[in-house]
Amino acid sequence: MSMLSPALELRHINKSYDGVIALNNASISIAPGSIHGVIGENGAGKSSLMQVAYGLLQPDGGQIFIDGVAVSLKGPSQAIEQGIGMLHQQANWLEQLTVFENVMLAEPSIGLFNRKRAQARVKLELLCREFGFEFSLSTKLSELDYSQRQLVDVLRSLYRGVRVLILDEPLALLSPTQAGYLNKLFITLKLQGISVVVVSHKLAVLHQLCDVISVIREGVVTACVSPKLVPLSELSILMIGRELMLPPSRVEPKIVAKDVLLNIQSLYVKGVSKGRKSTAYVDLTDINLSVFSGEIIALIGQPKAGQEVLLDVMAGLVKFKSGTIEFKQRVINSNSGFSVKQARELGIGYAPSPLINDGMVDMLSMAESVYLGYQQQGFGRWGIISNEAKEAHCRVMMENWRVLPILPAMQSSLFSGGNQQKMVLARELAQQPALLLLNQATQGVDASASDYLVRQLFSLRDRGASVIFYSSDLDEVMSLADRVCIFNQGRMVEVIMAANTNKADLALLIAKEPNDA
Amino acid sequence: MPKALPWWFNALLLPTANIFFAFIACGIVLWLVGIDVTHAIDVMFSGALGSSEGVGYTLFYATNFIFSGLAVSLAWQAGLFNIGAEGQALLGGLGISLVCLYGPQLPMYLMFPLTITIAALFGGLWALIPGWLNAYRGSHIVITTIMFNLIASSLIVYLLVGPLKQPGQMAAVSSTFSQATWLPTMEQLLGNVGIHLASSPLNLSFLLAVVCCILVYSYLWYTRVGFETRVVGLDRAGAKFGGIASKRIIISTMVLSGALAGFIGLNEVQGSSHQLHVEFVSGYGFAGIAIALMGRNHPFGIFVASILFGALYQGGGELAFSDDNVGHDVILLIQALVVLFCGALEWMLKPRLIQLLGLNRWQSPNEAQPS
Repeated sequence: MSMLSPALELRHINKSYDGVIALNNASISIAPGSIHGVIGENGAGKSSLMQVAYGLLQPDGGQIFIDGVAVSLKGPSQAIEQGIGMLHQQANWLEQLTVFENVMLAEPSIGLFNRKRAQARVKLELLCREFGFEFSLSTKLSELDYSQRQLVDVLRSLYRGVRVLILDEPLALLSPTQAGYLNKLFITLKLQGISVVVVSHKLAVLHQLCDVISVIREGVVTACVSPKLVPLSELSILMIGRELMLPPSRVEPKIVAKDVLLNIQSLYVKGVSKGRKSTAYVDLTDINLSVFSGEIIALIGQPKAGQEVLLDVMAGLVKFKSGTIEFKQRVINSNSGFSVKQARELGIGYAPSPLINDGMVDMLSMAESVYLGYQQQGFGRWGIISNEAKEAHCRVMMENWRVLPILPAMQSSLFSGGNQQKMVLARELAQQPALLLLNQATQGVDASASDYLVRQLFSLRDRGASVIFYSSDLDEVMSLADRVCIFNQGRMVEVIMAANTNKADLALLIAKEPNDA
Repeated sequence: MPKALPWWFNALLLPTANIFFAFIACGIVLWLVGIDVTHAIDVMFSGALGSSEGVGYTLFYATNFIFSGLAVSLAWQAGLFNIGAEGQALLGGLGISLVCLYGPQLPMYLMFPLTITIAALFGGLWALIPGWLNAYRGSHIVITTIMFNLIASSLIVYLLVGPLKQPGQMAAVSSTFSQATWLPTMEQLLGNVGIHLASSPLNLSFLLAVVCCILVYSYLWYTRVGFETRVVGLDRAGAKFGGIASKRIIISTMVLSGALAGFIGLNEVQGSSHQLHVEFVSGYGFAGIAIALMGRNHPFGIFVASILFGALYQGGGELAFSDDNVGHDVILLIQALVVLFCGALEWMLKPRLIQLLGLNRWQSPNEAQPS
């Protein structure tokens, strides 16, 4: 393979924004038919480098080579012509159109002619079969979940004849439940001579999947290693200069939990099945759970097994039909009119899933977004606050969580996905909640921020607060949780002490069909 | 590291350039119609800003535009397209007329707060119904507010040909209010402190309009409810997550919006005509949409846009008066072109201007898409 020229090569790329250097003489070379991981902290320049490769950013200096030929990419359309494809962190789909129509959107010349459409359809069907995509071309996008939607994007790139596919933080694709499938897909791509570039914070997943991993630090590509030769623990040293325990090591509680903080009894929640599949959820049936103060509980299960609904119910976002929730000796039943506002007043904090991104208002400045949910406390007694106070408040959070750039006045949607999620976590933790609910909290967040989050959670616990979280990352579950609740089709089928189980057993329990029990 | 464009670019330079191009387009149209353009400009400019009387009229019209512009933009901040300012203004005027005709005799320092309250109450209640229907019954605010415009105007016509009609008169107008209830004009007010202005209908409500600009600005950007209003307008899912009672916000915002529209009655009815007639709003409510658009939904932008529209209104009127070839339609033409260039073609000149000024390096990739 060394005889071949690289499928894509970026040499000595420089890029700075108004004096702040984003890329400093960065070079990367992608071999044909290789799986190439790119790692680095939030804001290290990973996305900038990928955007240069896709023609979205014009570099200040440096050269791009495709198959050994120097090219200049004026925009994404030229990159696509040259066989470069990219999946973005947050893609946009037209929900009410079918898979076929969504793929064809970018091919304006084809829309008018039926014969060409039919040809395109045949070609797409072939591709679907070849790569094992499970959706049909006439399925509406609204009926697909997030990981399938990202596969639609992959299909679109394949249709356009992609030879280097860049995946920028494909959150949904990289969930552990998808890992096996992704592995197969990557191998198929490889056999076709297609290279894949994956940008992610999931070091363990990348270490397993990739042939080569490049490390970016402060705009420089500092290392390019083969995972076969370099152990996982060394990757974090390469990335941030110190070793991170991955997953973070467990800190045992100082006090033994014994006061019941939360007691859920025979809770029943009516599911929503109509409408978009992405917002539908199952019935929750007969949920019983007592949580002590100072306890960390993990809810796990396959996607849509009900664990996320339970978090929404406790946060006051979803109403329940019957049963009771007792929190801090206060009994809440289905007629109490339990709301998000009340939940917050009682000291229940909630960080929703970053995949749905409800925790931020895109068009508000970050300084204002961090008040969402806490506007009552934040704006003070008379409901009036100055801009300076808002920005100072936000600046502190940004410094603690190392969110860059430290510009509180910047619109929140302009921050990277990982940085937005860090700010959501910062906001909830700043309130010192008595009960903190987390939904896939570490998605898209870099390793040092995950590490910081875990240490924050342990110190929150040691002050007597409880945490209930859903994570699809079982390493995270094992290192954090005291007890693990397993969900299956809207029922809580098992509750196990984390000390009495291991990762492999949990994986088996998640995969189990309810009828087997 | 994205860095925003300098603040004056979007806030000052771009609107100025847009207005400049709108005027050039106006000039071309006037020239095609065969009007002496330099003369027309001269008449319009001196008519609107050349004399203290002209300035008075300009600010008088601007007062109406400020109220309706604020009304539209406040509702818009909560994601509501209130095109019912017209009807809400009519109702405000009706409330004021009732107080002035049948209310108690009060000194001005009590009368003015009373009519402010009544105008707000009438306008606000008229907007409350569409607001409630939208929040709790999901009916579309555009449909309901426009229907309420029709109901309001029918109601006023009914009252003015019936119960409120001035006895012994053919016209559908109410009796003239007693002079004690008239809002003092700026000429009178400033005359007291020794500043002499030419006579114009500009009155006390202009000051109220300025105060409203400041209040709306502080409300939206410095208070909790204002914050909640903007969140509801930007992201309903985010509002739900934030525990914001969207329905209440929708209703209260509509009431405030209607109240602002109701203040047009203060300027027109209590400040100028001193009697209620059918068509006193005559399109000011709808013009509020254009004003809000031009002022970028920002109270200070709305103030500037209102002055501009006031000047166009007054200058266009002078032009129509002085030149037989020009009808009152010319005002509409100019307004339409300004709206076209400042609203619909808002971003047309942006890339070119950035290039001209060498600001390229300021632009981040995300800034490239107009928001």
